Parts: sequence; C-alpha cells; structure tokens
Amino acid sequence: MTAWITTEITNAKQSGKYQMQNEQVQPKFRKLNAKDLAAGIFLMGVAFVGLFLNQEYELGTAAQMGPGYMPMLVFILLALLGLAVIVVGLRSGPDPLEKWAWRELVLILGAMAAFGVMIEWIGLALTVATVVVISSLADRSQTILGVIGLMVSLVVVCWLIFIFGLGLNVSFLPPALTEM
Amino acid sequence: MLENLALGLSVAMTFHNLSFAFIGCLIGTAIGVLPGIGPLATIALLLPLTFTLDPVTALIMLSGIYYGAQYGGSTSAILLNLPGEVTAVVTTLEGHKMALKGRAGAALAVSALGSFFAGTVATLVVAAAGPLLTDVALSFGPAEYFSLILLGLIVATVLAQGSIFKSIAMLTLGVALGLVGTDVQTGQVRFTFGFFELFEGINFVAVAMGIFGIAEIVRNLENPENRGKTIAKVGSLMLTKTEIKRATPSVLRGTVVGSILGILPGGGLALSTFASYMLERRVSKYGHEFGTGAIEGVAGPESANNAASQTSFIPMLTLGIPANAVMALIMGGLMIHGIQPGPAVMQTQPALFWGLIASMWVGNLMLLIINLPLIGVWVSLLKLPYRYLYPTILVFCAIGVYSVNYSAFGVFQTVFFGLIGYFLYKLRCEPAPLLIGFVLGPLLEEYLRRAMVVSRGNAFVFIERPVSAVLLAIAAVALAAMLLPAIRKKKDEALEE
Repeated sequence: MTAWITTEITNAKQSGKYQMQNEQVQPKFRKLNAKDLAAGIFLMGVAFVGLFLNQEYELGTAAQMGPGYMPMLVFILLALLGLAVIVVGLRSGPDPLEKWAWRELVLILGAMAAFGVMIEWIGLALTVATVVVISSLADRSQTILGVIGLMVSLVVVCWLIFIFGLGLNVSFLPPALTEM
Repeated sequence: MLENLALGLSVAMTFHNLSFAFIGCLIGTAIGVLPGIGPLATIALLLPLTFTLDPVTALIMLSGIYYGAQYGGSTSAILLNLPGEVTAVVTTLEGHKMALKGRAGAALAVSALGSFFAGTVATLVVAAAGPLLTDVALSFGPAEYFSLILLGLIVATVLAQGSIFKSIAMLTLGVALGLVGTDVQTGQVRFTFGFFELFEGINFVAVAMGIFGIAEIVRNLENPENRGKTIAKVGSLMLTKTEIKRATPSVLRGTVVGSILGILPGGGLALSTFASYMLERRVSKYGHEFGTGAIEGVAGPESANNAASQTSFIPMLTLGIPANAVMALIMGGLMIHGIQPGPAVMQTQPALFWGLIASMWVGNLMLLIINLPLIGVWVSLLKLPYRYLYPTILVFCAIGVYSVNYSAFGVFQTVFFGLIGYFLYKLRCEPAPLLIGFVLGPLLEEYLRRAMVVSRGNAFVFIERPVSAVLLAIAAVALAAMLLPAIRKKKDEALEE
C-alpha cells in the first residue's frame, strides 16, 4: 500500500488538475504518517498492557499512595500520548514504514544472545569465537581469512584485558575441560 | 572557592586518579574516533569498565571518556566528513572543507587548542556556579523537587528533534520502564513478569548498551554508504599567524556561548555548537568564506562544544537532573556506585565534587597533550574497516554487560533493548529522552509520593508553594511554546540546518 501512496503523490505532483480530483476521491490516505500511526499504536498497546497488569497492585489514596498509583498515572498518560501521536499521524504524512534489515538484526542480536547462552557453559574463549563468527555473517564483505584473524586476535585481546588484566571471574576455557 | 579547588586538585592529582583520567581520555578518544560511534555509544560501551573502581576515580575516568569521545568525534568529522553525532555535524561544515584544502592539521590543532581554552574557562564556571545552585537546591522540599524534575524532563524533550508528542511519549515510556522492580516504599514487586532478576529493576547498562550500542551496529550495517571514504591528509599541525589571529576571537566567543548554553537542559551541546556557528558566520568579517573552510567556523563551535560539555555537568551535580542523555548515562553510572547525584553530594562528598571539577581541567590538559602528538594513531584507527570493528564492539558489549553482576540475564536484556532501539529508530522515535525518563522516573515517583504525604493528598501543593509554582509555570510555557507551529518550525530548521 505504501508504494501505491508514493505513486499517487508523484502523479499528483505532476498534474495539478489530477491533484484536485484526487483530493476529492482519496483525501485521507495521502497525508497518512504510517510511522506515527505505528508508534502510537505501540504506545497505546504498552499502556493498556501496563494498566491491565497494574490491577494487581494496590492503588492507595493520593495522600498515601500505594505501589499501583504512580503506574496508573504513567500508563494513562502514555495512552493519551499514544492517542495524540496517532491523531497527529493522520495528517502529518506521508511517511511510509521502512524496510527492516532483518538479516543484520537477527544475526547481531543472535550473536549477543549466543554469548548469554554459552558463556557459563563453554567459557570465554569459545564464546567470543562464536560471537565473532555469527556477527561476521551480517556483513557480506567479510572474508573467511578476515573472520579467522579477527577471532584469534579478539580471543587473545579478551584474555589480556579481562582475564589477565581485570581478573574477571569467568572461566576462559570450557569449565568441563578444567574440571577434568 | 580557591580552598575547594585546592582540595579538588589534591584529589585529582593523585597518581591513581591521574592514571585513570589518562586511560579514560585515551580509550574515550580511541573509541570516539571510530566512525559511526558517538559519545553516547562510547560511554555506554565503556561504562562497565568503571564499576570496579571507587566512585571518585570512576567519575573521573567516565568524564575523561566523555571528553575523549567528544574530541575523537571531531577528528573523524574533520578527516572523514563523518559526524558521529549531532554536535560534530557543524565541525564537518568548515573542518572537512579545511581538510580538503590541505589544512586538516590546522583544523585539528585549532580545535584542540580552542577546546582546551574553553574547557579551562568552563571549569571555573562550574566551580563558581556549583555552590550557588546547590544552596538553592538544598532549600527545596519534595514538592519543589518534583516540579524541578518535571521541568528538567520537559525541557529535555522540547529541545530534542522531531515530534513533540513522540518525544514526551518516549520520556514517559522511560519512566514506565523505571517502574519495574521493587517499590521502595512498600516492598511490593512490580511488573517483573516473574523474573527474580528484575526485582532490582531493569539493568541500566543493558538499556543504554542495547539502545545506543547494539541498535546502532545494525543501523550502520544497514547503511553502508558511511564506509570506505577517503581520509584527508593531516598535513602540518602548526597554525600560521593569520590563522591564529582569525581564530582567537572566535574561540573567545565560542567559549562564552558554550558556557552559557551548556547549562540548559536538553539540546545544550548541539544548541551551543549551532549557535556559535551562526554567530561566527554573522560576526566574522570573513563571513563570505564560510562553507569553503573558514577557520572561524571550526574554532568557535569546537570551543563552544567543549565549554558546553563541561557546564552541562552543573545541573546533574548540583540538582541531580541530567541535562542530556550523556549526563543521564553518567548519573546512572554513579547510582550504580551508590551515589545519588544532587545537592547533598557537595556536602557529604566534597572530595568527589571538587575532585571531578579539578579533573575536568586536568582531563582537558591531557587531551591536548595526548591528541596532537598521537594524531597518527587516530588516523590509523580511522582506517580500520567496519567489518572488523563491529564484532569487536559486540564482544566488548557482551562481556561488559555480563560482568555487571555476572548474569547472562543482563545479556538477554541487552538483546531485548537492542530490538526495542532498532524498532524505535524505524518509527523515527528518538530514544535519548527514554534514557532520561528511565533515570529520573524513580525519583519523580519518590518525590511525588513524599510531597503528597506532606500535603495530605492535596495536589494543589505544587502550585501553592511559590518556587514549585514558578518551576511548573516555566515547564508549561516551554511546552506550550513548542506546540505553537511557528516556533516548532524554526526549532526544526535550526536543528537540521
């Protein structure tokens, strides 16, 4: 749909006459700010989930506020702001949603998550190597030799800084190996 | 004041603190010079390094990192035409043009010398203004404090770029994130979704690193046009006589502009560099050369930038209100050390307060000494391809956040906030207010509750007490002004130009 809106606009710019007709036919969509609408819906969503969860906590009175009082105020404000963002978004466009760099996002977040999963299980050295390999996949200009070089040098640097230098309380080699 | 500065110098000049200030400046510059990494990301990345230190040393090192990162940012702006953040945009305007004319060395030198001078003056401003503001703040009750925090929050958003509703919404979202954890007054655990790791609240380092570090990596990978640019030759660092003559008045003007505007919450830093640039263009008799590499356009804004980065410490140190996201990060770092920044700090921890002020000056001196002779090192760092940089940053981020309390949960939180950061970027929501809201949210709640207990539930207390009423009125005016379309347009133009 976003592509359709863009073509509409280019067309409209090209002919003033068409623009007038177009405004009569589809006046709403042309000014739609999809980014703002999505942001507003997200904010309202967070606010309603928050208000729902907040039912669990005691509100108290204004003079003696319970744990639920401030959250109530905050989430009501958030819902109102979400609404305001939506209302503004109806007219401040056009600003279509952008494509996401899914591949890069998943690989970078995945590399980070892998660190959390592996660090206590197989030690710092192998974990760092894994993070380098996964995250390197996100950049297509990366070469195999480059990845290997980076892996080796980062493992050495991490040992120098964090194990030798700062004395981090982390096992460097896989714990299973050192316990044997 | 002299006595206090002497105390400060005695703290800052110990070998221990000097060496950490030095290390801070050095790594701050090294990371800050890397293309695509601004001061926010640099500090978020290096924050965990300071956790093992005592609070005074940690704060000294953090501020060293901050100045270093600022300065490193100017270097990549001049040599590579790549601004790491908003304030460096101005530096690219004239600085990179000078580099193209073969005077990159002069641009770097004038920026270092101007920054040093501005930093020295601004340090004295901080030393003089700090105690005054602290005295005022100490007379505040909970109602005044609540209004002050509210004012700080609102002003921080109105000066931010983009839609006002979105900025305030981001702020509120930050306050909401700050609610997670144990309610201090009743012991009730809130919004933890059953994770006991969240009882102490969301990990501050994870929020900062996720939103400013991880999300930024994905953004940089997505926009590869920032890479593979040619680096300008540095050339001679010596300034010619005419250059000195032309730059000196600009440095003086920049220092004044920066020192004053830096105290303002919100866009202080960005605002001061832009203001200084505009001023130079108008005042200088070489105004017609602007846009082709006029040295005034580097000297003024760079001095203003550095002066502002010193004076922006004032609201955080004396009132406990961070003026911008960088200060929110530093404040969060202090809170992890168990220090609540605010007016009490100067009395209970004079060594911390004055030690920091003295070390600001020491740090500026160090930057001057480190940066110009080491320029060759920074240039070689600039040549590092991004494909080697980002996995390194990622590994250091992961180890850093893991080492906060040796829990993988912190790493998963970073992943989560990395996703949130990218999501918000795609919806063009500026995340800086979120961080400020997150840091100040718990304080806002505490003072609200205290004020309401004292007033027995009467919400009018905030407008019945004169100081509080004035603060709220300023906040309301600022907010109303930003909703007026005419002013908003002007602000956006000024910020975008």
